[in-house]
Amino acid sequence: MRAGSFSGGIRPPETKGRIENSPFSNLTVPHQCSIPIQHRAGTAARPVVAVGDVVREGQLIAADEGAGDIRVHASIPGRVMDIGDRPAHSGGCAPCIVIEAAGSFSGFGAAAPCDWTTLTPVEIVRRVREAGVMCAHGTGIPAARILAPPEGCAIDTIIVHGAECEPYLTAADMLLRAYPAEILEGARIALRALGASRAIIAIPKSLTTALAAIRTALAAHAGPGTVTVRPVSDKYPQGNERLIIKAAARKTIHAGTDLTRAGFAVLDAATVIALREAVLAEKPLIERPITVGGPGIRKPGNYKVRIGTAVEDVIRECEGLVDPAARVIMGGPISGTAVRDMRVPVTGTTTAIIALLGPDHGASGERECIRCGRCVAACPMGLMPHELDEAARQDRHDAREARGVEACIACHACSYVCPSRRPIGRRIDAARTNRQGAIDG
Amino acid sequence: MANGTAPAHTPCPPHMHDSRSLAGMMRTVCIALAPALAAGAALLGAGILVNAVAAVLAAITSEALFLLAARKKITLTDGSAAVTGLLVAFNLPAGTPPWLAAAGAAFAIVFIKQLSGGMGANPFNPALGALAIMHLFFPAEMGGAWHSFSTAPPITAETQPLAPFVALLTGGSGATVAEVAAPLALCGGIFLLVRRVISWHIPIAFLAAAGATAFFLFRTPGTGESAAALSAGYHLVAGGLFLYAFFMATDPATSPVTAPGMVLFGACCGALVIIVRPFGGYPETAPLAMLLMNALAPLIDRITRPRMFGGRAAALRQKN
Repeated sequence: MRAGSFSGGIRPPETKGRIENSPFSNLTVPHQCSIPIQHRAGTAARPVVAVGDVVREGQLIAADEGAGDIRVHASIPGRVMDIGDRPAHSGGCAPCIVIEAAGSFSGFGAAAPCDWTTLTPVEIVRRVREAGVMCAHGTGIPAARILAPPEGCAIDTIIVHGAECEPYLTAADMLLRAYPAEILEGARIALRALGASRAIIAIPKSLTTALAAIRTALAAHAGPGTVTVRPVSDKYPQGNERLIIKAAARKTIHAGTDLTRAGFAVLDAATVIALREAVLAEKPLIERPITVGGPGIRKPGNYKVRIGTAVEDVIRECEGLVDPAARVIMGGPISGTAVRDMRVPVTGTTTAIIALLGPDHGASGERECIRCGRCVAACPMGLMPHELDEAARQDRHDAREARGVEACIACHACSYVCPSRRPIGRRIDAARTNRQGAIDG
Repeated sequence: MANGTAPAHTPCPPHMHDSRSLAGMMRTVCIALAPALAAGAALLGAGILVNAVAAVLAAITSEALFLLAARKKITLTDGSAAVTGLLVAFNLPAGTPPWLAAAGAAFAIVFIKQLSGGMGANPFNPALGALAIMHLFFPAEMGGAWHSFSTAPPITAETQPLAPFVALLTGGSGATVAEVAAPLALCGGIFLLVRRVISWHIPIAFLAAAGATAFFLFRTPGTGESAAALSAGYHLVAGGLFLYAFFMATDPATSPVTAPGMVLFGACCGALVIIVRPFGGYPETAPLAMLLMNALAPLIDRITRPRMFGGRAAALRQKN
């Protein structure tokens, strides 16, 4: 089948080589975890434990039944040492519950996996909510929200994707290769919860092993619901929700329309696996499959890391940095966030920890725009980023600029290709923040 | 407003960049031009090299002095001034006095590049603008055209089809580097394409349109298709067309930014450069034709804006 694609996008150099065949291993459990209880601004969960309490592994430690809908669980057994602000990857601080490891890993969840086909959709959603499963993309939307859309929104198509399409990232690829049957079952559970008519498993066409694994699993495990596999492009940013829908289902959903209203639900491979474990074994979300990689890591690989583990602990377990001056990034090297404080914890939305060597070209100073059009060719949203950049610099907001700023998906492909190294995406981001501030205020 | 320079460790994405930088691109352009310059000097004499050095030095010096006087950041390291100087020198006939080469390059930088907007904001290609002015004001020093397109010999397949090409490429008094080194300019252009310094849109559209226009414009009645094709080939090789297609029309600042716009722009440039040959009043009309297209580039951008993801629906919804 021809791979689905989208217009624009970029092809960063393929640098996965070194850890392409690294199956997941469990990272050593840290002696201390700082578990964040806030995932988006203004939606911190309320702690249900107090300092000094002894908690079991997987025990509920904070909950928010309101708008945030977050449930946070202890990722290690031990004693609650502190509840307060800790460094966050966004740069500032965020409330965390700090647990020091003690006691035994007694296991948790249901003893025997249940038969999910007998569960009602409501019960499936309840289990996913209880487990606190979060989607890795975006700002960490609870998976239960995606499985229980608001009244009047009927989900027709679920897209499960393994598109990372950034250099060094291999976690999704490895998940698809190692757990194809589990991902398939997770997709079927999501189908049942939503009453959707079909699920599409979208995999970048270059991940041939993963594609073959999923196809084999699909042939071997018959089950309810229509599940198909669709190869998609391996351009960046294929992992974006709108672009994965465009590539996998050939449907264009513009910036103004909600995905749910258009009848789509998008889940990534890691979320689907967590969702399945939540439903089958009532296992809460306490670990994340992430890639620790890049040329600056001594022992790169794919690891299952407990939520709340500090970046410095993860890097130490991977035998440290090749060069202390390496730039550590949380997330992919194109879209991720620079880690400025190594105590920042791994959260439920962390996909990777990458260490890059060499100078950051973006820091060498920008030059004038020469109107070469590379950003225009790279923009997957059909915008003219160099014009938006100029408008943002001049603080100008006419209708076209406003539309463009709203439609921008902040993939930073424009900044990546710019030969003048202009931080185009960053300035468009700033313009959006200003606009939202002006509307809110 | 985040418009300052980036801190040493950028906290925001992207954390890696495409390896092509402005300075690297300009360096590649200079490398692509070098063999043609050497061939030009071998065929037309060392005066070509003297003119090239004079033009490049004048371009770099005038850019530095202008930026200094305007209290702007000195950005010579991007190499764009050197490229402008080289392109001016490539289109000067052998025998042009070095002072004129230097003055032309300085004029290109000061008046056509810096005073009308500076790097990236100049509406006209500096080298083309300077060449047009030089042809207007110094017709004697610029030597006139050593061959005239309006009286180009009708080529027939029977009578020595390659003779006119040989004459073109060995040069004569008043020939330019761009003309005698046409094959090497073509190779340099292909090198730029391979290194992705330029995209295919402009040069391919340029050459296709120029070839097609010449094919239909210069066919002599009763001589057959092969003669018309030969004649079109002659017009592609003559007049330094490859340099225009690969090195001048692709100037990012003065060409459109969208892919369809680039194709349209390249095709119009190619057709226009051929059309003005028999009808132009001046011996060298190609720079004027290209300048006309430079002026139209913003319009082409306007009519070839990319469709926003989601298309018209997105625009309509936002309006409501």
